[in-house]
Amino acid sequence: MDITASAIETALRQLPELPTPVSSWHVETGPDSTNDPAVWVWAMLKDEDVEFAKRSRLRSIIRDLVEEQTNRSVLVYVRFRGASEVEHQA
Amino acid sequence: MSLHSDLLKQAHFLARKELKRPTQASLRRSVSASYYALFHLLVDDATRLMLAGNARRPLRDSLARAFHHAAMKQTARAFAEKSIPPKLAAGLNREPVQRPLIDVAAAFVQLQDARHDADYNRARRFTRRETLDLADMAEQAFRDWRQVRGSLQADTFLTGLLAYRHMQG
Repeated sequence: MDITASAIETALRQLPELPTPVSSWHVETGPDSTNDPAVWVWAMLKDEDVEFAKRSRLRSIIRDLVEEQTNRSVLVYVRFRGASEVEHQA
Repeated sequence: MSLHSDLLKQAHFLARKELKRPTQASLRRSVSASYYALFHLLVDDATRLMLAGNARRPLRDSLARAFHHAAMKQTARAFAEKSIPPKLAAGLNREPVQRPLIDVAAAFVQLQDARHDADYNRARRFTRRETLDLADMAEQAFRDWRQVRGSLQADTFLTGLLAYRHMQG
């Protein structure tokens, strides 16, 4: 995979008008459990209780962007966390 | 109640089990239950497709052991990416893959990866929100599956989950 996690994170930060606000992003790259090249994106959601339809739309937006950045050569895994949960873990 | 429905219920229950500080054990078991809820829903329908009726239940249970996670992921990924391999294309009658089936396949791929982390990756920390999202994803996949279940495309998907690697073409 030519593109780095930080380049993907930069592109994600520039996404306009998301279905629900994201306070921060975390991106990792590497092989997944079956050795397929993969990108993992964690989106920290400002709103703790976002309805599934909005999360689903956001997941699609993220997946589309990463696939575009990587020429559809990777699997994109998207997970959501609450921003406050991440603060508590820090 | 069926095993897959119980697992889905358990996924939600475990994600909320501790009121304040959820334990990693509860969250990881919840993630695993979300994946296995969808896994067993699909395996159940796939084996019923071949072996219907109560008399064949023991045979269905034996056949269920023939499903392999990696091979299932391969088929699910193909459906999620709408790039159906030629050996399964005959089952689609040149029709585009239905949206709910794409969503079931995509959920399967996402949940399998999360389950792998939950069961084996001790470096990964799960949060309640993350875990509930995965349980919701499994629940939505159940609803999506109900929309396509019994269709030729759904049967093609189930056939691929079991036999894709061994099919010619």
